[in-house]
Parts: sequence; C-alpha cells; structure tokens
Amino acid sequence: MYGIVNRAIQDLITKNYGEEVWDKVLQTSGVDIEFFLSNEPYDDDITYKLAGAAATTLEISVAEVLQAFGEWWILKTGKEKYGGLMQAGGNNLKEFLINLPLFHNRIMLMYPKLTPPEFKISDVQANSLHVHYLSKREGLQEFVRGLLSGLAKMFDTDITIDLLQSRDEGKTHEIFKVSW
Amino acid sequence: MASESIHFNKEQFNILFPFYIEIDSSLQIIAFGHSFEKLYGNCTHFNFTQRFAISRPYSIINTFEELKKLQNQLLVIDSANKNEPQLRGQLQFLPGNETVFFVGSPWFRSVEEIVSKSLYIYDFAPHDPQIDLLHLLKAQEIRSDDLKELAENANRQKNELKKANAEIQDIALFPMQSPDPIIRINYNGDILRNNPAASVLDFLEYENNYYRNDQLFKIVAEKSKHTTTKWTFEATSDDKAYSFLCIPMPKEGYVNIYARDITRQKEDQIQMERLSKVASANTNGVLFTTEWGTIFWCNEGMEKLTGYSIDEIIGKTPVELLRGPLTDKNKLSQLIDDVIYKRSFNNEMIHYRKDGSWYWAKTKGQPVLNNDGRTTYFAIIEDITVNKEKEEQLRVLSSIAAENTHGVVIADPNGCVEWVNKSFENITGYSLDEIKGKKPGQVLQGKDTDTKTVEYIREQIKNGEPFVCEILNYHKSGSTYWLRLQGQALKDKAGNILKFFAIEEDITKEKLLAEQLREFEQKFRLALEKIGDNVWEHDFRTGITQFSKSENNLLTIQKGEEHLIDKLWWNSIYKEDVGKVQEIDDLYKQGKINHHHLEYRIVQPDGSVKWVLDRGVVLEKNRENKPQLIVGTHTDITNQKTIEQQLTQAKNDAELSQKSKEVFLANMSHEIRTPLNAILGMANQLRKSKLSEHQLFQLETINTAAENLLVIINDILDLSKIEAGKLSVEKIGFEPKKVVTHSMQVLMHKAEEKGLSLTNSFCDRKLWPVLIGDPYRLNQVLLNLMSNAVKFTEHGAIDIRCRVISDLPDTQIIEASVEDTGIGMDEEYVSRLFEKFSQEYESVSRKFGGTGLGMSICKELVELMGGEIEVESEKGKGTCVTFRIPFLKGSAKDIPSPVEENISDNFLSGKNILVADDNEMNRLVATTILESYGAKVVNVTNGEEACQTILSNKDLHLVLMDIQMPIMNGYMATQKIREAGIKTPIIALTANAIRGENEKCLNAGMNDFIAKPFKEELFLRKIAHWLNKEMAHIRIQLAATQQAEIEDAAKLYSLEGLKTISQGNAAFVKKMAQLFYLQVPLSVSEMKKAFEENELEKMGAIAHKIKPSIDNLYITSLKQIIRDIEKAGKENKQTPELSANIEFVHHTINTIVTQLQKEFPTTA
Repeated sequence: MYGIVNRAIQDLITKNYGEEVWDKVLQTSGVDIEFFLSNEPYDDDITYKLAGAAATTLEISVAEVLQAFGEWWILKTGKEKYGGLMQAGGNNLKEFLINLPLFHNRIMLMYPKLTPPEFKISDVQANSLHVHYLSKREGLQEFVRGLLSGLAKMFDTDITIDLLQSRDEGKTHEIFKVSW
Repeated sequence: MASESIHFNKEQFNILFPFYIEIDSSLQIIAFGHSFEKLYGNCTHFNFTQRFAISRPYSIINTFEELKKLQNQLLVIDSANKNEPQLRGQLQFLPGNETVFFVGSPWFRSVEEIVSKSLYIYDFAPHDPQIDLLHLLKAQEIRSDDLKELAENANRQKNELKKANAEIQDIALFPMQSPDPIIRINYNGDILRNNPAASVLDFLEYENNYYRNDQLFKIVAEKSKHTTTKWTFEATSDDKAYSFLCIPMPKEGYVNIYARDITRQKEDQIQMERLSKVASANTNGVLFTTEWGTIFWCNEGMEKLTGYSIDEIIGKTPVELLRGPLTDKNKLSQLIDDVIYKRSFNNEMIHYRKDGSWYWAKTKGQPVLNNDGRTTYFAIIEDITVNKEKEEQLRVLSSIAAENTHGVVIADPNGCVEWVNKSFENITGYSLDEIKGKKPGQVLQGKDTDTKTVEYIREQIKNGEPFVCEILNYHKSGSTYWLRLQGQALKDKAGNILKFFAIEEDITKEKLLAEQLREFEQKFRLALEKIGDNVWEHDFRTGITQFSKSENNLLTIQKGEEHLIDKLWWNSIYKEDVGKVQEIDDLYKQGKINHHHLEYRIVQPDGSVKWVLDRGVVLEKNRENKPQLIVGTHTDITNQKTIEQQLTQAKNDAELSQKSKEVFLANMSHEIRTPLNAILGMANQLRKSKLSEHQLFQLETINTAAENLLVIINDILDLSKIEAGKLSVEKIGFEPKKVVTHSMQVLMHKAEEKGLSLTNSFCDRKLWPVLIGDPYRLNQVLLNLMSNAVKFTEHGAIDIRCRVISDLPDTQIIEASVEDTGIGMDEEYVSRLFEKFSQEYESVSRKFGGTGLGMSICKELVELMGGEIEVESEKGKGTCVTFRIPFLKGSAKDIPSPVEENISDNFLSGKNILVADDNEMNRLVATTILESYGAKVVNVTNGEEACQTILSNKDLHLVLMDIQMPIMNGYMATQKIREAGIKTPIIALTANAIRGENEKCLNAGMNDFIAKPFKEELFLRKIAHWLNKEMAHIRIQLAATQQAEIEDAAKLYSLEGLKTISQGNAAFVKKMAQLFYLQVPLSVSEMKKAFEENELEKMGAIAHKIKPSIDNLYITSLKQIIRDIEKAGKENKQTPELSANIEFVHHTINTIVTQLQKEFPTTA
C-alpha cells in the first residue's frame, strides 16, 4: 500500500487521540518507520499491523478502526490532498458513486505499484445503488464501509449501507447496497 | 470488409469529443460538443474568428482556406473572453461537408480550475488524459509537501539533538553528584549554581586573608575576566586545603570553579620537601625513578657524583647514564630484573662519570608504591671507590704475604710469632702451630749463627727500627741455610708498635753460587792469561782501565810503569788504526753497542808492529742504558796476520799466474794453429800431386801428426775454457741417433784399419727422436771415448750401447756406454782416470800418445750437461765407460735449420748513405760492406760534420750515426737534423750494448739501433728495412760448428769477422789490420798515461774508443777488460784490479800488434 494510507492512519490517530497515542500504536505495532512517504509503496502488512495496534491501543475493534479510517480517508485525506479531484468526481453522491469505477481505474494507471481494488456499480435506482467491491486483500470491507459513509458525509447525504454479500460467506466479492 | 469511410452521428461524435467545434466555409460555428457548451455557452452561428483566436501558431484567419491550412498541427485557441480557458487540439477538413472540425479539450492548470468551471469527470471523454495529468500534478505536489515536512522533521530533530547535547555537556561540566565542591559564578561573582558539596565552603582563607565565599568569588570573577584559559588557586576552609580550578566560559557568561580537597597532598608535599632537603643535602646521589626506570628527581649529590647536571640526568635511566665498558654485565642485568619485578636491591658495581672516568658505586634501591598504585624507585648511590681500593689493596697484600715465595713472619710487639706463611714453613721446617708464640731467633738460630748479627736484630727490634741482614739459620732437621732478613715494626698513628713484620729470603743457593763464581772467575782469568790472552777491564765512571799482569808482555812494559799501562796502550796504537779504536770507544759511550771485535796494530817500543785482536763486552749499564763497566781480552794475532797476508799474496800470485796461463794458452793455441793450418792445407795440396808410396806414407804420417796436434791444442783450449768457467753448452734440438751414427762414421775407418769391429749393439726404442741439448759437445764426448777405445784396443771389438733409463713426460735420461776389449786399467789408476794429465804409465804415454786431458774434458763436459760419468775396467780384459745425461724432449721444429739469408749483391745500388763515426776502422768496415752492395758512401768523423753534410746534401737516403763522437755526439746531431725538418732515416751505431740505449736513441729522433760489433746480415737487414727494399739471393751459410771454430781460433784475435763483413775482401782486411796496429797502440799508451796521471775519465773515454777495434778483431781476452776500464773511467772510480787490467791490455795489444805486423807488413 502506498504510504499515503499509513499517513492517513497516523493523522487519524494523532489528530483524534494525540501524538503519545500514536507513538504507543507505533510501538505496539512493532513498525519502526517514523515517516511514511505518500507516494512510496509499503508492505500491506504494515497497514494491517498499524490497524491492529490502533485497535489494541484504543480498545476498539479492528472493524471500528477501519470504518473510522475509511471515513477519515474521504473526509480528511481525500479532501485535504485531493480536494479538487474528489469534487470533480461528481456533483452528488449518486454521480460520484457511478463515476467511482472510472475514477479508480484512472488512479490505477497513475500508480503503477498500486494493487487497487476494483469497484463496480449496479442496480442504480433513484435512491439506491449497489457497490461491488472486488479486492485481493482480505479484511478491508469495513474500510470500504467507512469510505462509503465518509462520501455520504462529504455530499451531506444520509445513507444506509447494507452488506449484501461478502467473501466471508464464500462469495466472490462484497456487495454494498447504498441507499439514501 | 472494411468500408472506405467511417461515419459517426453527432451524438456518437459528441461522446468521443465532447469539446469539438464544427466551422463552415464562411467561418461560422455550426456545431459543438456538450462539454464545450458547458464552458463557452451556446456559440451557434457565431463567427469563429470573432469568438476565438488562434494564438499558437499565431494566425490571423480571414478565410476558410486560411483555416484549412492549419490542419495537422497542434493548435492553441484563445477565447475572446479572457475568463474562459484555452482550447488545445487540432483541425480536420471534411470535404463532403465543406466544414472544418476542431477536436481537442480545454487546457486546465489544476483540478480546482475544472471544479470552478462546474465540470465533472464525466464531462471529459474517458480517453482524455486531462484529468490524469492534473492528478499527477497533484501527486507531485503531495510528494513535495511530504519532503518539506520530512526536512522540517529532520531540522527539528537536529535542534533537539543539539539541545540535548548542550544539556549533556552541562551535566558533564557540572556534575551535581561530585564529592568535590563545584561552583558556577557569573562575571559579577554571583553564584549561579553549586553542588551540594560546595555548601561547606562558607569562609575561606586565601593568600592569608579570610573571605566569605561571595567575597572570594568576586575576586575570582574579576581575575577570570582577564583570561580565557583555566587557572588555579589554593585556599583553605575549615582546616582543609583546597585547590580551585577556574575555567572561564565567556561565551556562556560564567566561570566554573572546581574545588579539590588537597589536604593530604599538602601534608605529603611538606613531608616530601622535608625529605628532599635531607636528600639534597646528602653527599651521596639520591634519585627517584618512574616504574620504567626514568629518573624524575635527583639531588645535587648526583651532580657531584656523576658530573652530569640535574637537567641532563632527569629523563634518563640510571643504566643509560652510568653504564660503561667495565660495568659488570651480570650485576647490571640482575639490577634491571629487580626493577622489573619491583624488588629492592643493593649492589656494588662500576659506574661511569660524564667525563668517562669511573668509580665504584654502592647502590641501594627501594620500590615505593604511590597513591595512584604506580611504583616509583628510590635509590641512593654511594661512591665506594676508596673502600674498594682499600679492600683490593688488602686482598693483594694478604695474597702477597700468603703466596710469597719468601718467608713472611708477623710477630707481636715482643717479637713472638703470630703468623707465618707457607714459604716460611717450607724454609724452616716448622709449622705455624709449632712456632706460634715463640721468638724466631730462639728456634732458628744455632752455634754457627753470627752473634753480631743476632745482636743487631735484637737491638733494632728493641728500638722499633727496621733491619736488613744476612744470617745463617738452622732448619728443623738441623741443616743450615742462609737467609736475607728484612724486618720492620708496624706502628699505630701514635707511634706505638703494633706488630713486627719480616720477610725471609732463602739465599743459600745464591751464597753458594757467588762462592762458585768467585772461584770460577779466578780460574778463568788465570786460564786466559796462561793461553796468552790479556784480560782488561774498563770502568767508564772512573775512566780507568785495569790490565792483567801479562799485558806487559804485549807492550813489553818495564817494571814501575804498570800504572801507566792505560795511557801507554792508547799511545802505542798504530797511527792509522787509532781512528777505528776511537770509534768503538765512542759507540760504547753513546750506548749504541754492547760488544766489539776489532783487529788493530800496536807499535812496540822497539818500533816493531804487533797485531792485536781486541774483544770486549759490557758488564754493567746505568739507567740511561750507558755502559758502566766493560771487560775484554787482547790477543796477540801477529802470527795469524802474517800468515793471512802471505796467503793473500799467494792467492793473488796464483790468480795472476792463472791469468797468465790463460793468455799463454790462448797465444800458444793461436801460434800453433796458424802453422798447423799451413801444414794440413799444404799436406792436402801435396796429396793431390803424384807421390811414391813411401812419400805417401811420409805425408800420411805428417798429416796424422798434425791432426793429433790439433786435437791436443783443442783439448788444451777446452780445458782452459772450462777452468775459466767460460765454456757453455748449447740448448738446441738434435737427433741423438744421428749424433751416434756420425761419431761412429768418423772413427769407423780407424777401427777398420786396426781390424776392430765398431758396433752399436743396442739402441733403446724409447729413445726420443729429438732431444734438446748440445749435440756438438755430446759428439765430442763420444768421439773422445771411442777414439780412446780404438787407441787402447789391439784385438776384438768396440761396442756402443744407448739406453733410456728414465722416461718422463718432458725429459729422458740417456745412458751411453762405450765398451772395448782393450788393455784395461788397474783399479788404482781407474780412481785417478779423470785427473788432468793422467796416463797410466809413462810408457803408455809414449806408446799411445795424447795429453791425458781427454777423460778429464769428457768428465767436465758431461757434468756441464748435468750428467755423470763412470768407468769399469779390468786390466787386460777391457774397459767400459758409461755416462748418463738428462735431456729435455723436443720436436722437429726445435732443430735449427741452417741459417740462410738472401741478400741481393747490388740491392744498395743508387743509394747514398752517410756514415758518421770517429773511428776510422769502424768507418772502413761499414763502408766496405755498403759499397760491396752497390751503395755510395759519404764518410764524416763527428756529429757537426754529419749535420752540415745532411743539410747540404738532400740526396742522402740513410744515415748511420755513431753515438760517442767528438765535437757533437750522435744524439745532438740527430736532434739538430730533426729540428731542421729532415726525415731521412737515421740508424744508431753504438758499442754501448746496454739496456736503455735503444730508447735513448729513439727519443733523440733516430729510427733504429745497431749494436757494435754487428753481424753483417743484421746490419744489412736493418738498412734494407729502412730503405724499404726487397732482398734476394746471396747465400750466407753459417753452420754452428764453423762458428765454434771461429771462437776457438780467436783467442787472441781473429780476422774472420772482418772477412765476413768484407765478403772476403782481402784488401779491406789488410787495411783494417794495418789501421789497428798503427792506431790502437797509440791509444793504449794514452790510456795508460791517463791512468798513471789519475785522469780516470779520460782513460775511460779512450777505452771506449778502442773498444770497437778490439771487438772487430775478436780479441775476446780483452772484450770484458776494456769494458771494465771504460766503466771505471765513467764512474771515475779506482778499482783494485784497474792497474793490472791496464797492464794486461797493454801487453796483449803489443803481442797482437806484433802478430798483425807479421801477417800484414806495412807496404813502406
């Protein structure tokens, strides 16, 4: 994963809980990298370790950490660093989500070392649609839920997210139904 | 099948290119994409050029055609509204529609700009990378932000590190937990910080004043303002001494003060100073070294002891400072070991001072453990040389006493023995135990001991005075012996007698020897006098000479004159001998000789002279090595001297007689040969005439007699040559078989005449074909032996045998024997066979003839050839003579070939040759030879004439130049000629055939050198060489035998040389002979006169002039003598034989003149 992901975790914890908690998380994770460069790829394991350590330190579940992180990723990292791009993604949540596969495919071309997940949109209704999440990585579905929730907050839209299917159930991928 | 064209409807085209514009031929915008519309509004029917402008490439478009021309290029299109973005894309003309299509997209600088224009990602065709490029730009920005943050992080961390470092440093400089007080003050003296230990320093005593600490720190602050380097001071507080180290830190604005409790150190220092004073005052050397032995402190005593200054000592080790050649190496290495293992030591060894002198030193060293755990050494060095010397003296004295070959006695003040040495025990026979406590006199003296001596010793002991005497003592066994006794008292400083000390020397043998010597001397003197020697003794101190009584006999001293002998002796020395006696006397006085042996004469009162042999030897000398006393003898040797003189006279007479004999023999030989030549020659001629048998018999008798006579004459000549040592043997190659065959051939007919067989029964196969030796003399010996054999054999045979008895790689010893069956000899005669003039009986001599010289000559010749000869003979049976001679092995090339020189008889034709010689005969010889070969000769008689002739006559081809000539000699003449630039060859002619002459001639500018007398061939060859002529065809064969005959016949003189020179020109020979007898006698007379008038140089010069004439006539008897006379003249030196030589020359020349006048009478 690119360093920007790890940076985002660091920012999330530092801003919400302070430097000391982050130091503790870092110490707990056993990761000895002080500074993550956004555009450098790091081992996926580091991200998992950080998430795990954050969960331990903050005494919450990993799922909660990942959800928080997903939201943070959209609201803070995305907005602060890629604000224009996020806005260019669509005029509203629906538009944005429909454009999401296109958006993600473009990013894949720019970051050659990225192993990006693939998103597909289906069942587009006036008030809902299905977001298909196809990834080689395990255990990040809650991160995706956080991302979707973050997007909703960005477009000031109340949504409900239902996980229609999951790899945990033996399916090929996860399908979230986003309704507003 | 693919169609030729592609058709899109407007909507399709719009999806692909949402920013397209379609422009018709009137430049009106007739269609556009929906995203274009979002940006630029509805532009339908707008004129393209009014709404847009093409900025790149900048083009003003007025016509559709102009627009068309911009196809296939990247265009940048500006909107007329500056707030609207630029477009970027390309134009394509569609001929069917007659329109131009613009395809492209707006050019945004950032994503934000897109958002601000209300565009979204789906407003761009998915293939359009515009958004992606902007995203990349964004990623770049993020990366920059990251790096910036990273750099800030690094800076921050660095600053934190710096801060931490400063804190660490401060902690280091200011350790709060230090047990020593530390205070930090500012430059006003205010305490900024202090550690707990500093709180005890409330009041301080500094430089004898009391301060509260803040007062003192004000002083410290003040002082520190003036320095940036650390400084220290000491102060006390509460009975403790402190050292304060002040470190000003002006940058920080404070001073750190580190205090250290030095109370203990101070006490130690005081203690040390006290000790130092003690050590310094010590006269011995005191020093301290580090654990490595380096001296870091020493006292003045060390300076005095070693001669080094303290500065020179500090930093050195005692070993490098004090070691020297005599220092005991073992002790030194022991000392070094002690130091290494930190042991104390105490040794005595030799140390060296700076000036190289040495002393005995006792060194005590002690390791001292310092507070810091290190070991230093403390050492005291004491000069114990005096003690050592005393110790050594004592040791030497003890050993002298104990080991002395003389007896040594030590007695108490009463004279009772305390100690004696071994020698005393040996001399007296008493052991120490036996004699201890007794008085030596009581034990050792007996009835024959001289009582006066005993009394003398007793008296001296009583008075404490030294004594020296000789005394007869008694051995324990009762035998007596003589002692030389020396004794003295040993006293203390107050003069009290402590002991007596005596040395006893056993002089029994000495006494005995002196007695024997006295007796011997008496006898010896008596013996000398009895045998006629007179003994004398001279004392140089008194100048008096004592003579034994019989001296009177030599001087025939009258009674009453004995006391005058010394003076009379000197006065009687023969006047001419006084000098040499005086010389010996002087040499003695100067101490240069120790003995002498001198013969001189004494004049007796009656005027007669006696010869004395005076011998002497030095008996005593003083310290300057000058003789004090000499003794000697005078022996009357008058009789011996008389006999000696008679012997010398007899020897001289004999020598003269021998010389006369030689002259006589030479003369006689010549005198006899001349008529013999005539006899034999005439007989030969006579034999050619018609003769009766009787006449023939008479002629043969004459011939035989003449030949016999010739043999006798030759024998006599040989013998005289042998006796004079003038006969030499050749060393040339020869074929031994040929020699034997030849000698047999000679005698064969004689043997046959007598009916004897002459055989060579054995000739060793090993006989080397060519040997090196003298074939003529070998032939002579063989002929002699064979002719004897033939002569003394009437019947039977003569046999010759040749054997090789030793065959070595280089040499062979040949044994030849001649055996006959003749009359033989008896044993007694055989022993005298080789004596001269010996024949067995007179009757034999009468019967067989001969001189009796033959065998003697054979023996001499064989021995001359390095061999031996022996005879076996039995009366009536025969004789065998055997000789053995060693010869070197040779080869065919060693055999001399007959000399052949080929010279053309007119090879000098047309050549002009100058002969410069003051001797007329020499000129004649040269001229005759040269003219006979066709040369034209010019004669001059001195160098000056030679020069003039050459300068005036340019046609000269060669010059023959004598060296010694009147007016101008040959060297000078040659130099002048060469200086004049004339290069005509000049050949020197000189009778000085000495070494170096050749070089002198060449140095003078001559080309070559011929020694006189010269051989004609050599003379001609040299001339030919310098005239560069080829030689041809005249044969001069000089067989060696002929040469020998010439030598024989020329005992007095020979004309053969002149004949050869003149090629048999009788007129020349005659003229030469006449010149000789006309001129040479006059010169000889002048020479004799010059000698008698002691004008030796003149004499020599005349001898030089005569020399060539003598040589030309082969007057060999004068050849050496005339040279001796010349040499004596040149050296201006009288020689004992000069007078006799002059006389001999005079006599011989007169004889020759008489002979020559007979042979060549003057044509008056």
